[in-house]
Amino acid sequence: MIAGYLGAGKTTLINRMLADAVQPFAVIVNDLGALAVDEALIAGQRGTTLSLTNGCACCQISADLAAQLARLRQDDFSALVFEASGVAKASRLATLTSQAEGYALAKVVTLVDGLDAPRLLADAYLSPLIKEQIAAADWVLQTKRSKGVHPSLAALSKDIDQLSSQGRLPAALAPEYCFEQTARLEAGIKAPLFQHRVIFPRPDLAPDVLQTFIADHPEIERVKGWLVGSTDAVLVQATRAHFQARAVARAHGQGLQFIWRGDAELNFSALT
Amino acid sequence: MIEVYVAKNIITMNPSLPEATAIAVRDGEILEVGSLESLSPWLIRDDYQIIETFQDCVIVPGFIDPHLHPAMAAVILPMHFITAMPWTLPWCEVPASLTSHAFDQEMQRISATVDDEILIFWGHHDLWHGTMHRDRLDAIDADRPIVAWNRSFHELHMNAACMAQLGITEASISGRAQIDFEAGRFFENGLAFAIQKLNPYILSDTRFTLGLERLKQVVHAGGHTTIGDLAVGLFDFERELATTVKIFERDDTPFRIEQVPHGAVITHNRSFEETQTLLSNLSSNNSHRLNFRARVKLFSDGAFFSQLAQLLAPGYLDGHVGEWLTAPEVLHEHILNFWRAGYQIHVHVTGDMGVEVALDGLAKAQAEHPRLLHGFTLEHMGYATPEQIERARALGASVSANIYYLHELSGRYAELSVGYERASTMGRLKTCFDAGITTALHSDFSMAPAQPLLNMWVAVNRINAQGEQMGAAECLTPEQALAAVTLNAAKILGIETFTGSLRAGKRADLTVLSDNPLTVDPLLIKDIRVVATVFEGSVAPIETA
Repeated sequence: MIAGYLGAGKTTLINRMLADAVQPFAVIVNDLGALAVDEALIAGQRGTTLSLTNGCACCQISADLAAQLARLRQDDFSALVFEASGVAKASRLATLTSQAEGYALAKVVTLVDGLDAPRLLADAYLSPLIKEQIAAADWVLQTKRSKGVHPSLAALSKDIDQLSSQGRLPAALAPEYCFEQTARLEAGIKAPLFQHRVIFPRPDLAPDVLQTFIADHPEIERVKGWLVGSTDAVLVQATRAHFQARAVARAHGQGLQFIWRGDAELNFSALT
Repeated sequence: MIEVYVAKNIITMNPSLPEATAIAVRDGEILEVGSLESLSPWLIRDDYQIIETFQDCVIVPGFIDPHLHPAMAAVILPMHFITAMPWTLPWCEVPASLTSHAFDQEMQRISATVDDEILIFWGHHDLWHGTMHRDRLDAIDADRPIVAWNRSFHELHMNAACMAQLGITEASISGRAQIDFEAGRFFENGLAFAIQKLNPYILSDTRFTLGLERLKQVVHAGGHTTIGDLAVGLFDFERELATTVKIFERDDTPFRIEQVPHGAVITHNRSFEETQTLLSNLSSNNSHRLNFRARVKLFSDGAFFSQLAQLLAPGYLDGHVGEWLTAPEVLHEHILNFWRAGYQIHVHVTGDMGVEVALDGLAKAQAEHPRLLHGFTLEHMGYATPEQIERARALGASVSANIYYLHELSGRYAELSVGYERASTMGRLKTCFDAGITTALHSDFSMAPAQPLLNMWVAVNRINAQGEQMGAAECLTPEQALAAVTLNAAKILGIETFTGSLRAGKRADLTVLSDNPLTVDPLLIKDIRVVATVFEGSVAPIETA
């Protein structure tokens, strides 16, 4: 999933990924409300667009991400790039797309316009959104600015990389790299190398119970998300090598995201 | 032939002649409002008939709901209502089911009388009806598919037979967020999964048509002679156009629909010139009851019921932030495009930050290309500050408010969402009237009941669902509230030249009431009965159940 505010370079990036792709992949553009530029730029490539209305479950009756995803599954493609709308909260869309039958979310990449970032982060209407998009990303890419990561962005995240306007895409963005990791169809021709799921742990689950669960399941590669208690919340970031649980005043999202290897189901009942 | 309606009172909303006792109509048009005596110059020159059916009633201008969503209503209305609050629906009286037992009994009763392919109940609420579970639905009938949809619409339960019919297995949903297979529960994001499976059924032609037919009855029962469809294209633009003409452009439809297209849908993948061509083609193909005009609907911030309104400081109690439905700069670009082209622009705004962005757009437009009487309207306007209302007045904006928010949500929102001060001043309508802003009320049906008298009652009394009065200083007078569902609502839609009040030259759109909303005890306004409507001179009686 590619997130980021208007003008961050989402469509440009996707076009470059399409150009570099070894095999075709599908693109869904969620640009209802944006002016009609994104879809035109992707024209000629394999893709489709859909509309999603923020906020109201009733709107899901027609604004139907799940139906679009189901339709795409009939086609022969190995991966899907989802371009979020510029005002989408990345965490909410990640949760929504995790519902889709037959898909697994590989990663959320948020783009930030390095030249416009100071204005956006000072904008009373937009800064909470921009910060949320950065916080929810697996990986943040600064675009347009060549002189290092802008200090206002560096202050928000240590893990911001730069995407140059020229030259090659970072290796980690090459579609074959991303998609071989995780974004295989669960029910497709090949078994997935990795699976992804968001679970909702029971309230007041102790972090050490989670740590033990991870230790007992060597197939788990990554865990990220929140444990919510009655008075506070814990932000968890874990890999096989490292388990970090940090108390925070409140959760900025919901659920715990798990990525694990292999095609076997994981039983999460010890946590939920 | 002239028809002369006589009534106990005729409230005209025409300031020069506020009250009358007789009204003369010819060919659907009002000739004169006055008394039998004053009408005589007309009556001596033509045949006439005096209609005494309503002589003990009160006649007001035909009610106008300037903002509802027929397509959304068409999805919900075919469901079977089982609710904690009683609902009066034209095809059935829904009793109040206040306990878990009562809910189950209603499910049992309805189940025995209908043979729907999937039985869908709407209205379950944990506070009254206890926890829902698929076993509980199986106990009603384990062999037929059953769905219990929550009142909030954000959650549903289905039984094993239903999951089997829809091909939902434990493997296909295990571990997914916000789905509980054991309980048959699908909520929030998990609801999308269930809806995807249910869509072929709930959006089928048969059900959609039934839903629109029922909407027609609901609109009539509320006493409306005009409604505004304030986002044509919410589901499917072409299908909505085709279906509404088929269902509503008929002699037995006693109201007109003013159609306002969904801006994001009609501009999608089109240049602005192409959008304009499309809209002017639509307007030139208007039928008698269905009309597009130079109007458009745009969206600012998120849904009020989902607490996604964008708020200025200090924001929500729990610190979460709202959402934008349209990026502020994109909204401004749309506003400028439609403004330059002379459109009347309606912007969905729920929170005060959403209002701020919409007014910023209007201010830019006014600075670049000043317009008078432009009809720019803030729609819903859950929260707005007094200073914003002053700014809206200065810029010439109008307000169309969903006042039912205050009744349904202010009690809970005071404790759980935004605190008492803000919750008690949602729908700050007296301030709007005092500022001289054209202010109307709408239902946003199916968000709130399509009953103008109920909305008037909320606006006048500001009593919430817990029975507490909220923000007494913002109560409207009954006169203001009546204006808000008649003449002001006509202005919001830009059709005040021919409807919204009763005077010579306007179309004969009347609503006939059992009592006078201006003199009755304000607490009883919602209990006034709608006896009939007259749409362009044709009487349409309202059967009471």
